[in-house]
Amino acid sequence: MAQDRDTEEMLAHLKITSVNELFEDIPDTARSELIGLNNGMTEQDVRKNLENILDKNISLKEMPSFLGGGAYDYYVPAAVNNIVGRSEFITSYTPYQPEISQGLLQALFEYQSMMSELTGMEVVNNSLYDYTTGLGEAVLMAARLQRKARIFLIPDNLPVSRISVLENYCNGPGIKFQKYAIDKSTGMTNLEDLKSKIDDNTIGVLVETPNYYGVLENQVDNIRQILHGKILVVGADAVSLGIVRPPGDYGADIVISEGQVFGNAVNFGGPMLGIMACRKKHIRKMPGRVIGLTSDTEDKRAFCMTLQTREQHIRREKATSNICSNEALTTVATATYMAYMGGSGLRELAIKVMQTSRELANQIAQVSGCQAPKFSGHYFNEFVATFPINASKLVQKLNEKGINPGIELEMPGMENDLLIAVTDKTSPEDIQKFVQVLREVL
Amino acid sequence: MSYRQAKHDEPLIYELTCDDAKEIPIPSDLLPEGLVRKQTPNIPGLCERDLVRHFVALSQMNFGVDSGFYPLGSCTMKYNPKINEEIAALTKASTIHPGQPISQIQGTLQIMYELQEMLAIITGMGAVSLQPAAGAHGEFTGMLITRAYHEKHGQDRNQVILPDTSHGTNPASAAMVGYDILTIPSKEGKVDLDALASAVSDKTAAFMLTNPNTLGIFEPEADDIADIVHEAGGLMYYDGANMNAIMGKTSPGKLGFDIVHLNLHKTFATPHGGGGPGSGPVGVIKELENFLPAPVAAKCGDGYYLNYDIPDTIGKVHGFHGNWGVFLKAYTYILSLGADGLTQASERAVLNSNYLRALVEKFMDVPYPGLRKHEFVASGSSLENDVRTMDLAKRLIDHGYHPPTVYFPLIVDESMMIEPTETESKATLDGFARALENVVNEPAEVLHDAPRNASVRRVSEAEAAKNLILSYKDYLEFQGGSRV
Ligand SMILES: Cc1ncc(COP(=O)(O)O)c(C=O)c1O
Repeated sequence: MAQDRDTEEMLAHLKITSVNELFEDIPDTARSELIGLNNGMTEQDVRKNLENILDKNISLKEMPSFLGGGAYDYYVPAAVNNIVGRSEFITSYTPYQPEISQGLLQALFEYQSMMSELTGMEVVNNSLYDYTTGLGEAVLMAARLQRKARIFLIPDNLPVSRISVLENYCNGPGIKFQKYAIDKSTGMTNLEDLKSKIDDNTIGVLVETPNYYGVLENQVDNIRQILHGKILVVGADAVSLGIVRPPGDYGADIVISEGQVFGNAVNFGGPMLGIMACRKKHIRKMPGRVIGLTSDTEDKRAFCMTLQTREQHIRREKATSNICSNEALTTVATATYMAYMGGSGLRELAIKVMQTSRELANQIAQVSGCQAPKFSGHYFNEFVATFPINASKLVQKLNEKGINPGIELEMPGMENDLLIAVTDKTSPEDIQKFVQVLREVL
Repeated sequence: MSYRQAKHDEPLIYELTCDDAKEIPIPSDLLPEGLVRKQTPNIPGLCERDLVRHFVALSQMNFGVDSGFYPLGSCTMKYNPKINEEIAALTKASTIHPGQPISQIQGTLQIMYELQEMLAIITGMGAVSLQPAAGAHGEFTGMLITRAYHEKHGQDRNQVILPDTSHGTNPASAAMVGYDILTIPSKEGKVDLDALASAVSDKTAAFMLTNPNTLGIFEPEADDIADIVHEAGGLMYYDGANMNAIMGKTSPGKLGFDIVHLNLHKTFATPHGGGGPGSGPVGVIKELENFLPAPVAAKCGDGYYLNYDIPDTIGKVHGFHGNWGVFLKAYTYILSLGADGLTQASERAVLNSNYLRALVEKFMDVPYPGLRKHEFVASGSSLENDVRTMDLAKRLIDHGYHPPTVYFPLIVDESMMIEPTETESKATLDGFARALENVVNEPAEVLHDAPRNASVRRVSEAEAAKNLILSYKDYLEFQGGSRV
C-alpha cells in the first residue's frame, strides 16, 4: 500500500480529517469488523507458513500415479510456463478494449484456429470453465437448436458428479436426461438401446470418446446416422485427437473437450479449460466469448471480441449463457503448447501415450487374477482393469506401497474395478513398479 | 504524452516458418481404420526460440496491471503481489490430483478449509463453498441454492427481482436456473423502496443486489430492503463484485443478505489472466448451509477431509473442486494482509475513489450526489461535436492508461465507470485526472482518431461481426474470396 503522506494529502483535499468520514453512509447498526482473522504477516512468514502447510501434500512427482478421470498429469514444457508467466498476459482483464489488448486477442485467435484444426470443427469459442460445465453448456445450446424437444440422451456410465452438474445446468429450462446403455463387454455404445430411445422429444445425444471407461467409440458414423437431424454432442479427449478421427469428420454438431492436458498442471482439478467447438451455422446459439479477425482504421490486421450480442452484458437474461470470466490464461497455455508441439508432435505424443497404456494393460493382465482391459473396445490413455479383490482395499494397499493405482468406479458391479490412466510422464519404471507391488499385495 | 505501445507486425502462428511438418505414420496395430485420424493435424510446430519470440512480441502488445494504471470499474484491477504466483507454482501445490486419497492432500484441504473460514468471516456468512469457477458461476450456484431452498419449503416462487443497475450476469444467472426476471428502476441511483415493495410477492424467490451498487453508492436503506424482501418470503442475494469497498466496515451478513458470491480475482488480488481463471466462492447464512454444493472441506481433530454429507446439497457445479490454483493465491493474499490489512485496503480503495472523483467532477459530470465507495461513474453525455465516452476511453490509451469501464451501468448515459483500487498512489491518480481532463478538452478530430499510440488504431468491431473470421482457415477463405 502507498505511503501515508498520500492519505494525508487526499484527506486534506477532501477537507476531511479521517477516512472514517467516507464510511459515514454505513449506519452504525450495520458495522462489523473482521473478528477471528489474524493480522497481516511479512512475505517471508507467509511463504514459510504456506510451504509448511503444503509440505503435508504428497505431489504426483513423489509417487507413481495412474490417476485420470478427466484430469491428467502431462509434461508441461518450460517454454509454456515461461510464456504464460508473462505478466502482461497474467495481469490483464478481458480484452474489452481491443486496441490495447492485441497481444492476448491474437493469442486467443490462434488458439481458436489450432483447436478448430484439431477438432475438425469450424468454430471454437474462447473457453468455458471445464469439461463438465462445458457439457452442461453444450446441452443448453443443443436445446436452443431443438426448441421443441426436451430429452437429452447420455451414456449410462457418466459418473454421478458429472450428471449432477448436467442436471444443475439444465433443469432451469426443463431439460430431462435419459440414459442409454454402454455395452458391458465392448464398453461402447449399445446402438440398439440408443436407437430405441430416440423419438420426437429427443434433443440430441452425448457421445464420449473415449468415454468414462476410457473406451473409444467405434460406431460414430452409425450414431450420426440414426440421429438424423438431432444434435450430436461429442465429448473428446484432446490428446487422443492427434491420432483419433476428429469429431468434425463424422458430423458432430458440438464438441466439448478438456484443455488442461495441453500445457497446464493438474492443479487439483482447477483451473481447467472447457473447450467448445461447433458448426458455424450454429454460432449464434453458442455460449462464451469469440475472437474475430478484423482491421483498424488504417486497414491493418487486428483482432477483437465479436458476436457479443449473444452475451450477458448485452442480452442480460436472454443471453446464451451467464459466463463472463472464463479460463483465458489456460487457453493461452494451451495455444502455446499446441504450437510448441505442432501437429506432428501432437501425433507423436498420442502414439506414445497409447503405446504406454497398452504396455501397462498388458503387464497388469499378466498378473494372476487380473483382467486388463476389462472392455474389448479400443482405448487411448485410460482403461478399466478388474482385480481379484475389492478396489478400495487394493487402492489402500498400493498406496501403502507408494503408488496411486487409479480411480475407483461407482457403478454397481464394478467394485473390483479401477480406472487406470497414463500420460507422457509414465515411465517404464513406473509400470514396472505398478506390476511389482500389485504382485506383492495380491 | 509519452506512452507508446509496441507495434509489431507480428505474423500469425500459421504464417511463421516452422519446422518441416512431417507426416507421422501411425503404427498399424494401434487403431482400426474407422478410428484413425488420416492426416496429421494442421498445426504449425515452432521451434522453442521462435515460439518464445512470437509470444513475447504478443505480450508486448498487451496491457496489464503490471504495465500501468487499469481503472476498469467493477473489475477491481488491483496490483497482484508476486508471492501469490510463486506459491501457486510450487510442485506441492500444482502437481496434485483430485483423485488422490485425502491422506495425500492434507495441505490442500487445510488451505481450502481455512479459506472457507476466512471468507465466512469477511462476508459474515455461516459457511462457504469454493466450488464455483467465477463470479457468474457463483451467482448461478446461489440461484440453485435459492431454488432448492424454496422447493424444500414447498414454495413455488418463479421470480427474481433486481435493480436496473445490476450486472448482466445477475439476470443471466437467474434465468439459467429457470427464473423470470423482474427489473426495477432505480431512484437517484439507489434502490427505489416503493418500487421494490410493489414488486415483491409470493412469487419472489430472491432479490439480487450489489452493495455498494454499481454506481459506487452504498445503499443506505439496506435494512429496509432486506425487510421488504424477507417479509415477502424471498432471499437476499449479494453480488460480491464490490466487496473491496467494505471489508472490515460491514459485511453482507450484517446487511441482511442470505447468499453471497465473491470474486477472488477482484477483491482478493488473484490476477485476472486476460479473462480468467477466476474463482467465485459462495457464502450462505447458517439456515442455508445444508444446500451448499458438495463436497466442502472440513476438519476433524487435526485432520481435514472432504465432506460429502450435506443433507440438502444442490450437488455439483464443477467437474472437480473449483479453481484450486486461484484459492491458493487468495489465501496467500489474505494471510499477507490480515484483518488490519484488508480493512486498510478497503479504506484506501474508498479514499482513492473519492479523491479521484473530486478531481474528475471538476471537468466531467458525475451524476448523483453523496459519498462514493470504491468506484464512481462519470458521464460523457455533455460532450459536444459527436464525441462519445468511447472516444475518451480510446484517447486515454494514448496517455498510457487502460480505459475505465464504459457504457456500464446502463442507467447512466455515456457512462465511464472508474475504479482506482487501493494499490495506486496519489501521484498516479493525479496523473490520470490530468490526462482525462486534457482528453476531454481535445478537439473532436483527435478523439475520433484515437488511439494513435497503441499497437493498432481504432479497431472495427462492426467488420469483425460482419465477416466472422474466427480462425486462420476462415481468414484464408476470406482473402481468397471477397477481399483481393
Ligand atoms: C458487478 C459484477 N457482478 C458479477 C460479475 C461477474 O463475475 P465473473 O466475471 O467472475 O463471472 C462481475 C464481473 O465481471 C461484476 O462486475
